[in-house]
Amino acid sequence: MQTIKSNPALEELKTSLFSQIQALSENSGNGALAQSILENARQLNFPGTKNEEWKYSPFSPKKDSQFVLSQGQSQEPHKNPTHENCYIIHFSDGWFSESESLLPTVKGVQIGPLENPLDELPGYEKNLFGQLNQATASVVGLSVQIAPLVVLDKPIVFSFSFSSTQTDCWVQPRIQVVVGDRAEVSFAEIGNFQNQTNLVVNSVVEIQVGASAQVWWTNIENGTAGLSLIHQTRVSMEEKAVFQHIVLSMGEGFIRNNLEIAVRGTQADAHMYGLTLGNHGFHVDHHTFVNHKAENTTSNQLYKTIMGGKSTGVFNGKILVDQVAQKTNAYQSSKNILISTDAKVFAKPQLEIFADDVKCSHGATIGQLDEEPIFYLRSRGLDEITARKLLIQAFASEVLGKIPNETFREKISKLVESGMEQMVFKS
Amino acid sequence: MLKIKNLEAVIGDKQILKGINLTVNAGEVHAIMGPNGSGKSTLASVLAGREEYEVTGGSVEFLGNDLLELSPEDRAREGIFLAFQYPVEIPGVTTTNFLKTAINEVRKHRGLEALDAVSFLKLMKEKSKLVEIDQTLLSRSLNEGFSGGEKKRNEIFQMAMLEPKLAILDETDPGLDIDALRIVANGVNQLKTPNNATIVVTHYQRLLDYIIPDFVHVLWNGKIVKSGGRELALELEEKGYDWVKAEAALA
Repeated sequence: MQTIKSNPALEELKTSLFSQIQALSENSGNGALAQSILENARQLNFPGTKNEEWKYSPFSPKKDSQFVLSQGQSQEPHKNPTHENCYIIHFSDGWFSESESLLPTVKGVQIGPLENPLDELPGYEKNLFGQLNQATASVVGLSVQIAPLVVLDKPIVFSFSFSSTQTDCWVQPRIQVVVGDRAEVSFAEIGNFQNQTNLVVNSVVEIQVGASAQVWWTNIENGTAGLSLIHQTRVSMEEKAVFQHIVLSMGEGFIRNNLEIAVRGTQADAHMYGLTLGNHGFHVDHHTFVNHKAENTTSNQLYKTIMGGKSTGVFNGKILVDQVAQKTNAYQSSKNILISTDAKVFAKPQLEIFADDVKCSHGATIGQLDEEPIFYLRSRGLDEITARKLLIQAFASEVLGKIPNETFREKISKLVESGMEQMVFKS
Repeated sequence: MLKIKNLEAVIGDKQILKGINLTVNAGEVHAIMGPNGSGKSTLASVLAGREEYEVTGGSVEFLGNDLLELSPEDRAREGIFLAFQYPVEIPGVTTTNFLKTAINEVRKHRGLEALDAVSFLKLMKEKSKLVEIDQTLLSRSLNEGFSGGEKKRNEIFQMAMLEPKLAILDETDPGLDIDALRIVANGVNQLKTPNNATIVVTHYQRLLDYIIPDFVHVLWNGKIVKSGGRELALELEEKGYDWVKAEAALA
């Protein structure tokens, strides 16, 4: 794939997107707001290899791309996958599609246009993608508000479908989820990527977890070759809140995930897990940032990656412990297995600790499958490929086991199985 | 059943086996003894097909076939079983989980139909009784957090499930307390039939109080330097290996 290396092309893309966003916002009466955001964003550029946070994952769209900002729901007929025992909030080309949704009718759940989009959480990296999304947040954004004490009987699935006949689509979904104090809800994001050619999904999700609330979040990213997904999730947690985030990244294309969590309340507890299966030319970049801002808080990260083909995986995990955040427990682990000689993994932990009474640890491993267990299983009659698959499944099972919701766990297990079928194993 | 002729093997550039000759017939139990570093475990590993070892000479015939031509999995399917000296821990894989696949691979190879879930569970239950292994161990990650005795029992349990024609027990005894040793040996003895054979690789005579060998061989410096009946093991227990070494040096 030829990529644009010269800045003029990206500069041109930026200018084009700015004017498309401006036009879209004016049509919906949000022109002034968009203009002020874009004005501030003018100094930002699409991140390239010189940007430390993006050096392994520079944004390099196909040459001669003429991206068109999605103006509304796709009109083409399509079939959405079903999600049993779930509420569904559907987005078509990034726009909320009520007719394709199965909304909760429970008292205490409010779904509507996003009126007060959160600005960047203070202290986080300002990037052009975030600002572009911010500029259309008031137009396309959707807000889900869960009232205090609501315990939802079924998970809410945010499902996404995309036009498959159009090429060069630029889509900017924006979701805000506010979970009230002591409420308990499960969410999932499931993208249904098919044969889209040159699709950019520039998505932002903001999640506010109220005091003593519990939120479980599962994100399934099964990419295709023509996809560039830039997915930024920003979470804030109040006192005694529990938040669990699990992401499965597999398939093909380019995926960049930023998961940023501000642990603001004491005794709040954040869990972040990732499972990545790389194949072909898949490129996955997980950037996590946890900021402990209060005493007695915990965060735990486990990201596992299995890379084959010519895929590339990046893990960059940053933990920042503010001076006030004494008695913080923060753990981070990145475990990576390479199953082909052309696959690559870059892992970088970063700890910045300003408090003096904390427990923090990080570890990163990159290796191949151990030969001894393979021989053991072969000596019992399993052929080599079956043995390797079994060991990879076992490696993945640690993350799969963290998924509390059985439906999602099964869904992900099946995806992992099918993903492994497509992997080329050395024999 | 097994005919080893002048077998030589190296690891890296170090020669370990320097011409082994051994014939094992159905119904027999052979003990291979010898001091540390004499090549006992290497012999077991070469027979099971461990790839770090390179065979540089000689031949091994198993049930009329050239064993050395076969992959480790095909050896297992043909009926060779190696009970590991150090069974590996595999987090996330349970014994039940891989054993079902293993058994059905072996059955397929022997032209038998695959076992369904019910018959498999029934077989598990029956065989776990035989080696007195707690069934809950079998649904835990393989060997993870198992005691030494539990690991060895699990090996013998797998052997019972797979019903090999030739079982090779590599140093099954170190670290086993006397009860575990008795249970393991008991399992091995019960699995003995006129149609299968066992090779016990051991450093000490202790295990041979429980698994009675028909033949005892002493391996020293990559060769079998002395063979005899059960009484040879007792003699070794009493006198150590030095006299055998001295005899071998003279020969």
